[in-house]
Amino acid sequence: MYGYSGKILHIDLTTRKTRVETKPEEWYKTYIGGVSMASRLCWENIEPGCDPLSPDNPICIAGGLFAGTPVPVGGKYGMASKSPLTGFIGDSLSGSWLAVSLKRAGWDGIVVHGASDEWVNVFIEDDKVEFRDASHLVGLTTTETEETIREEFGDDQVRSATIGPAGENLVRMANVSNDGRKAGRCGQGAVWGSKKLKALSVRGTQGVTVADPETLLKLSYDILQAAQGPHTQKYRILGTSSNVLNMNKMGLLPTRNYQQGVFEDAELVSGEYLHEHYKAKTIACAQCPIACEQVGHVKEGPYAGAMGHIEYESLYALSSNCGVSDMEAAIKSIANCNELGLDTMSTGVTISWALECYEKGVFTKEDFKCEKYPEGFEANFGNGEAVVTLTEMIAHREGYMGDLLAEGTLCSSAQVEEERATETYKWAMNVKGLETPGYDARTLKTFALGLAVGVRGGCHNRTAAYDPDIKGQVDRFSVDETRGKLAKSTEEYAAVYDTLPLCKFIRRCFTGKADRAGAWPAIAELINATTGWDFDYDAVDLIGERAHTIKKAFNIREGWTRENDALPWRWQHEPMEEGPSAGHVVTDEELEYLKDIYYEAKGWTNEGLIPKEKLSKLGMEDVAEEIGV
Amino acid sequence: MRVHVEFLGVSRLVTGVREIDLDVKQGTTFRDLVRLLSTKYPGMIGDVIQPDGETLQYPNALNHNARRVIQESQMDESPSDGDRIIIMSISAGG
Amino acid sequence: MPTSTSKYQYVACDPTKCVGCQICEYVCSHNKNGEFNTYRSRIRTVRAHKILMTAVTCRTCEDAPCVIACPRDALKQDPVTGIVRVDASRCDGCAWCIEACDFGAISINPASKLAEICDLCEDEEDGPQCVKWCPKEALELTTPDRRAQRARHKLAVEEVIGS
Repeated sequence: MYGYSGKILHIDLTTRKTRVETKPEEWYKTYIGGVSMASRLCWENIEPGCDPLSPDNPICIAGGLFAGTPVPVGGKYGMASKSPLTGFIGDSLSGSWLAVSLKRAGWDGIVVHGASDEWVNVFIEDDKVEFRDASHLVGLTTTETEETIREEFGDDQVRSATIGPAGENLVRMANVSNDGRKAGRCGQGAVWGSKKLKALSVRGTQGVTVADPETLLKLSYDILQAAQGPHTQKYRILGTSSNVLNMNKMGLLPTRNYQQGVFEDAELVSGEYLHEHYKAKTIACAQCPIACEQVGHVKEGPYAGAMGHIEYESLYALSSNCGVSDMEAAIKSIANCNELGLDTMSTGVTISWALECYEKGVFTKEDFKCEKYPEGFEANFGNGEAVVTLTEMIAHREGYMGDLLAEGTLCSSAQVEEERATETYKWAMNVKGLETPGYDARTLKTFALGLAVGVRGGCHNRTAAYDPDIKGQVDRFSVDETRGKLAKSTEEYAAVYDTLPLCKFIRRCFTGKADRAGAWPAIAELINATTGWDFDYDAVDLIGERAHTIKKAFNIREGWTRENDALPWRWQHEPMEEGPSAGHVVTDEELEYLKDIYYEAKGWTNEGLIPKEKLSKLGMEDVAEEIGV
Repeated sequence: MRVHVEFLGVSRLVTGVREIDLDVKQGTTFRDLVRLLSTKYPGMIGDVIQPDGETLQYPNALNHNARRVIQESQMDESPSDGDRIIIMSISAGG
Repeated sequence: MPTSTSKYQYVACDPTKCVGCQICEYVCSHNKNGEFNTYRSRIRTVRAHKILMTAVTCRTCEDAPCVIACPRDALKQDPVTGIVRVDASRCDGCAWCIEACDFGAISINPASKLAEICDLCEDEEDGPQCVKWCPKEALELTTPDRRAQRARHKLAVEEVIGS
């Protein structure tokens, strides 16, 4: 087999034993890699119904088909486990070198079982596995951990995935970092922390060979050239932060915990402003010829020295959504999250919930006591220093507030309801427990559907249904009978990229058109040149449906029902009062109708369950046996 | 009639301008507007406007009054007096 | 016949343009060794800091120290191009050349156990593959003369015009 070693490595942290599992080629053709393979491994290895922070919840890592080859943006890997935030599948992607090291070490996937008694750094060198003491790494930031390990080995090519203090403290939105990139959402870091896995280091010394290197090189070169032109302009020059002003203009920019959609100081926290005043450099992940990471650097002032990768989703969550107009505070908050190992989105949206609680009198100044501010502080919207401090408090579970917010909006609001009998759930912005992204869905009706049915929760990336809404291909303010098929189409399209994986930013660089017709044939060629298989348009298209289905099946087995496909209370009951998107909500009627037509489009029952024949047709007979109807 | 044009993203970078008011004939279409901008700000050709001077270069789009994004098929429609036209680089995700 | 290193060509990297993608390493290792393997590349990227990255390969030094250091005379420098070539029949992988090279531009191929040094892809019609592939044009085939000239121009422009 080209493109794969044919081996999955199982590591048991309880017994410190390892074993190798081989899979047939058909399994690889079905699940490929990335989120699909990771979710499938999770399906196979989890104890259904287990607590996400228990030893029975495995960490499943799946490599990238194109990792370690010159295929542009192929240097990514997928990770899945049961999410501590949602109790459903938590699938994440991360870019850069770890994916390459995994491939070169000769592993298609890694499953980590059990839990260690002591903090451990698992080191994989080709086929050798070592359990190294990690007690000296505890408390270190993600960057410090990586660099310390690299120093220990004296080799730049030892790549590590690590957790920061947030993961160590089982913060539910902790992430896993590697090479400055993150397997960001769903709380992977907490799962690692529950296993006392501080770092996973990999050195792969083997070379990568492919079935048809000359074709692969030719295809890669053409894509690389195309990636320098207008097809990636928006990523290269200003990065994704250019969305701040775009969303603001349309009244979609989450402001003050999604109370408004227009932020009066949006210019000050925009990508344009970052570009002019704070951008240090644009850098790339492994194998990436685009280079979209805008690195922001604060040179002076109270946050001097803060350096962070500034993406739109990090920026809205920690600036406009918290009412903060100080770009330096935003960069510092983002840098904190990066270093302490926190998902910027969930952290920002949880903080904004807390700020609203404070302004509504649910919390007092004293509730925010911490070492830096022994009297507590006034946590109003717009208080940049409050947001910065809260990121630190959350990562360390410091004080009443740090410990509370570390649970995420779903659990925090439930806890506060118990303690103080309030209705803070009304502004807890999450879907299934995963905090909402940087687009207000009250007037993005297709997106609202995509989020509500999202298998990992409130994730924009997996549904991608905001695309037709924002681009005006459909009327974002209303609902019609096409939206079910549309939401199915966008999420399965995204899932193809998440499975190979390939970064979606390359999607126009194959032929200039990003639709299926423009991308799938080229992707089929890349797959075939790598593996020697015979994939065509349809086979590529199936990748996405399969990826999404295995995740859905996982959720069903973990107890998902139609009621779980819901939207935050605010989006259903509180219209915005001002701005281009004012006056709209997603009504119950709309939502239920959207769910009906979506399940129908997917070929599921009206309860959202999957018929046995459908699963069998997708090559998932064993799944059909367990949860098919 | 007067239309208010705002530049976001790359269009702002290449023009150096944030917003301007344009006085144009009644019945001027969106396509005419783009043509007018390409002559007023030749730097837009390439990154923002295609060499034909009237088609927007992906990912740039015309947003009309923050309510809708003008699709290619709508480029021969006309704005009204007082309308806001925003040139933005539409991005997804990040 | 050129008598000074100012005419020897080498591949230089501009750290302000390099984004650290490592594609140069993949194509070099594939071109020379038939596989994509950054342990077998003759050009190596280095990330010294979050935003400081560059790539390093042979500088075609005059009186190359690696040549002088080799105890078995396995390295020979071409007097015209400055390229240092390894005689496989003599090299025993002792790595003295690596010690001698201030730039870390030499590596020992883990499979063949021989020293490997950039040869500017002299067998390729389109020249150094890394230069061809670099997406940001951070790599260029250049000479010390040209680098010096560019630096002088840049300095003059900054001092006189102030930009």
